[in-house]
Amino acid sequence: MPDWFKRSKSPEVPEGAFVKCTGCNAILVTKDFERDNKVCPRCAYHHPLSANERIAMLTDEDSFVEFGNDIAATDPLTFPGYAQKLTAGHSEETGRNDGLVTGRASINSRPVVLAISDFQWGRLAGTMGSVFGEKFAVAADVALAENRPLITFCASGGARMQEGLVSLMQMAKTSHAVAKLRDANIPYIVVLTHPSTGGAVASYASLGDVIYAEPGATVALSGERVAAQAQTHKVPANYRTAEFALEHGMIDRVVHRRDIQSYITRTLLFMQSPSK
Amino acid sequence: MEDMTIIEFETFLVELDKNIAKLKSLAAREGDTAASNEAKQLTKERAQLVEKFFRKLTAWDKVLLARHKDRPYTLDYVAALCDDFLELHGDRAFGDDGAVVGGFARMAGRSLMLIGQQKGRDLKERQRRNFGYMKPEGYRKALRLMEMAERFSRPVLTFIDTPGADPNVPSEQRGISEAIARNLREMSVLKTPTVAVVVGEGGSGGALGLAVADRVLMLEHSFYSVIAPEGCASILYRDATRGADAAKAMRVTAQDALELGLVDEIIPEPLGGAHLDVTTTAENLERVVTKHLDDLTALPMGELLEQRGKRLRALGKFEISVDRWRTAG
Ligand SMILES: [Zn+2]
Repeated sequence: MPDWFKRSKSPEVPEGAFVKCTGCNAILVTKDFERDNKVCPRCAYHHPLSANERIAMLTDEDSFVEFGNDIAATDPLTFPGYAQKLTAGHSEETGRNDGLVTGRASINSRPVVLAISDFQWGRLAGTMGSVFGEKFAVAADVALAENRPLITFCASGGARMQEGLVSLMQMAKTSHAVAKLRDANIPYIVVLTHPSTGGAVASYASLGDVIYAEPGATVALSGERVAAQAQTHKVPANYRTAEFALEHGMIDRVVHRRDIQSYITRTLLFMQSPSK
Repeated sequence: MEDMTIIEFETFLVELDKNIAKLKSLAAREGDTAASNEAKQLTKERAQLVEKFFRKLTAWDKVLLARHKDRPYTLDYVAALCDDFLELHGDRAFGDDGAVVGGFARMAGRSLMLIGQQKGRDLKERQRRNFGYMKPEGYRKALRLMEMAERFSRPVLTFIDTPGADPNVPSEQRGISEAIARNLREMSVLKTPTVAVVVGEGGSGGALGLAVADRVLMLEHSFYSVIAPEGCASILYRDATRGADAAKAMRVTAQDALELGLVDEIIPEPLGGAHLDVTTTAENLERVVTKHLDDLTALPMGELLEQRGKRLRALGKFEISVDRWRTAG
């Protein structure tokens, strides 16, 4: 296994044998926590995963072959602080150019294309800049050319303001990529993870043939700040969550992390012809 | 003069005009030639000041102009441009959104589907139109009308003027994200020519939800932004009052968007802004829109869609390099 598949350190996982659950404060054995893909066995809190952790959890062993990591941001507006964030992201152990990870893989022996957001990368909150848009479009192109389903895991704060209007346009670019898949009847599966907000859910992430979401994930157009300021209405207890989205018909299912691979496989079984 | 905003400058002009009027009436009443000369001199200087000010508008001035209380809205342009406009209502599922108007329009001898975001003039209308914040049913109404235009082979013209999509609970309940996303997807493959014009505020995804088109145009003093300048400022500087700095950093003006290759053409406004002369603005708008519609309607459908697809696919600024952001050493 390549080096970058080693599990990255996250704040919830201090060095040592035990870790504290963010959801219920239970003390968990790190080894078990990792085995459970960072879901608390007591309260089912889904702790964040890096893109590499998702890939390891989801795909057949050694089947993932990354592409698109040579696509790099240019800081088109010379926006304050942006270059530092890009440099910091690049210096993370993955050495990647962006938070979106794209590649070919197989899931239970079915060839797929993956586009997986890493929320932590560069502390840029999985935002959609030009690199995101291009990598997503390339992933859709590969899916189209090779008749592979496209599966995306969303974790995003929305558009990337550091790229200004250019980043807003990535919503149009990714939505058009989905239109082409739809036209060709290529399966397109979206999994919303925490958090899926802003421009991401107002574009590609709301356009799946099926949309699954992890329990408790934030799913909403408006950010927390805006939501708090703008409310003129009574706010339901589960507002802006995956469960709220399910209740209002916006997603197909809330799926526990341990089941997502099986749900994807069953979905593809329906969508793909028997010869596949 | 240098550090005045456009709104402060307009207030200054009002005072200046009062003085000029006083001098003129003095001259007329008492035949005071000195007063008459001074009035003439001030009138000349006024023209120079206006020209100088408008030559150096800041990004923030553009934001203020785009949000100006007298800024022409969609229906003002409809009144000035259209021989006929038959407004249609409703999304056929939930309701009718007052923040967007749409219907059959006759413009320059052409039938088209005109859809535009609409703010209100007085408090009552502002509330009815939700201050231009569209709800899911608004995006769905717009899509219904666009699909109708497609079926009857009429082009679609949209006017963009919104601070953003409605962020309230009922809109989230009814799928504001899905409504915008669906519009982006469907507009990207709509089988009819489409032109979008940012006439005022191009407020992030709420604007884009009507602005995926074959041609995107902007009025000279409109702006188009990924996030409201105040919102950006509160994240970037932790100070929402620094909208002017954020507007500059994000490059939100029509001129910026043109330079970045994100819009096709800028439609000139009369000196002082569209609100001072709606007729001239509307004439400019009609001339530029007509030119683009003529070009687009001449294209075979396959080519139109291919060009639109290429245009969308090419959006973005990136380079091919694995170590562009590698730190030295
Ligand atoms: Zn727990």
